Amino acid sequence: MSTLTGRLSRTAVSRGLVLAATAAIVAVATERGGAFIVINSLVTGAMLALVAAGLALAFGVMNVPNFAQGEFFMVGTLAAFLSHRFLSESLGTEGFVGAMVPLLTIGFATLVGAALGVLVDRSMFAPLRRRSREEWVMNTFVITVGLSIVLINVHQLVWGTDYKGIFGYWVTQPVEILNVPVGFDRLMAVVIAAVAIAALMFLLRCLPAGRSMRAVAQDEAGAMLMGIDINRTHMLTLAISSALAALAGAALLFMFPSFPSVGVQPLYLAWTVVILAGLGTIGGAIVGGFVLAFLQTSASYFVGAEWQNVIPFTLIIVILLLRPHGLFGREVRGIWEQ
Amino acid sequence: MLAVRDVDSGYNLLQVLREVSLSIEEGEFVALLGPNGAGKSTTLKTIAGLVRGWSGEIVFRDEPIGDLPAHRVARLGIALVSEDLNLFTGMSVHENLLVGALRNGDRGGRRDALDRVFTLFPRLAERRRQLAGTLSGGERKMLALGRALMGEPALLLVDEPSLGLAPKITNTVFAALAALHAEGRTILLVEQNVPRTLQLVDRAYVLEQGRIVLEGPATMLADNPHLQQVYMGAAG
Repeated sequence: MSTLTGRLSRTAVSRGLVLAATAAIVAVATERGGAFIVINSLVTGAMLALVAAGLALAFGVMNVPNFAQGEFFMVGTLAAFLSHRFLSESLGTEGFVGAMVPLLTIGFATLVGAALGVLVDRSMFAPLRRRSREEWVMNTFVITVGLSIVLINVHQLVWGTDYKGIFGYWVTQPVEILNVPVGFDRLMAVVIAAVAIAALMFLLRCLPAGRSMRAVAQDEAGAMLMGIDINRTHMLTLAISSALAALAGAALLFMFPSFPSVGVQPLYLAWTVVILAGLGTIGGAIVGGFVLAFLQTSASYFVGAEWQNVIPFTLIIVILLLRPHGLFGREVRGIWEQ
Repeated sequence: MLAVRDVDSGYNLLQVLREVSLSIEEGEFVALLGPNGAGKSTTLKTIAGLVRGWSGEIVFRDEPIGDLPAHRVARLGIALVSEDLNLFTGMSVHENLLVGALRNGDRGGRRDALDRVFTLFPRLAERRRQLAGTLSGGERKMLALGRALMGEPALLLVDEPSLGLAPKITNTVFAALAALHAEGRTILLVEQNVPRTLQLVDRAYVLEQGRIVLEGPATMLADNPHLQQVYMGAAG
């Protein structure tokens, strides 16, 4: 019992330290650099949080280390680009309908992401689950890497390698926040991400389907004994996980034009966040996404853009040396080894 | 209510059960006794669908369930409280119970079930906000049993509830099982504590090396020389 409380308090202390340090950096950065650092970090942080939360979900519930999550992001950007072109040509960009086009676009891209998740689970993970669960983590890792390569090359084959971007979703005057002009697209990206995160949390905490997902993550046999259909739960999990990545890609199309390997950078950043937060903790992945984004933005502003990855990653190495399970993680255990 | 006929079962190439047959009537309290490694837990897991039987048939309320996956068996109303409990350790006591009630369709039914579980185990009501992983061993057993009851199961399979418990808590768990039986619930109990179990149940089966070697009413088995010698420590 004493070791348990000892570990808990150490977790709390190191979490507190990192959050306090981030808050201090944010405060100093805002003071010296201006509020736009905070705004910029919120935009990229929201994107990272969504992609990383999807990774954490798939790993926690299905034990799948998804290295195709970046390509789900890419599919989001592509679906958004194509549907935005189609919708703004057919519905126009004027008036109320025009203002709804971006929301329809982002909603459609999210659905495409969810459908892709269902397709991938049905066609790859479900048959593998039925056949054998030996070496599951390794096998699914290889599957997702392969899937990532295929998706990148299909994009290249069909739509080519050029940048498919848009000028902006909402062509309006910037909004003034804390004396900083903020593009409406950026503002909306943060709002959309906040809504998505709130919806995800509500699902996991309060709805039976979300509770079933957590039950499967914590004890698969126990979940089955409670009448939970594991296959359905896994399908739903991957659908939500990939929808989150596609949503992030779609909402940020004005910053990241679509091209075949646009998902590679978000993938690696999201994995860093997930490892930093602790594998499989979704709340940790969301907080971690914002922390990493703040570190990157501040490093790039105060030290230089070429340092924007060096400083946060050095910090992460130090954190992992002190806490190998991540800031929010407990000891990592596979579902089937429990 | 439940009939198991000539079931062979096991893991990969290892056969554990050999032609096991047993049956339970509505409202009966039946025990499955036997030494370690006899296949008692495997029998329960095979009925619950966690382990797929090799041959033979399992019939629950006139429906063959031998080929159903575990979640379908659970939805038919068979609840297994396994030996390792399979609790959701990162969820609160209350949330564990809510997951247990997934099978229980309506809101009113769920609330009634929750009230009944909290009446049976007041300790769980005190701890309802606590994470299941932080409970003591006895509280975990209570939670596993309570979670199974949340789905209003027609048949309760309970695997070694006294394992690793202090005698006082064992009494609580056995008293709860007796109370459930008195309410008219059907229970199949696996236990190693033979004298204690035979005081509690209506009937018992004895499983040795994967085969049923003895069966009969509890009172009759209590006088059986083989059982007395092997399981109750009576002098030869």
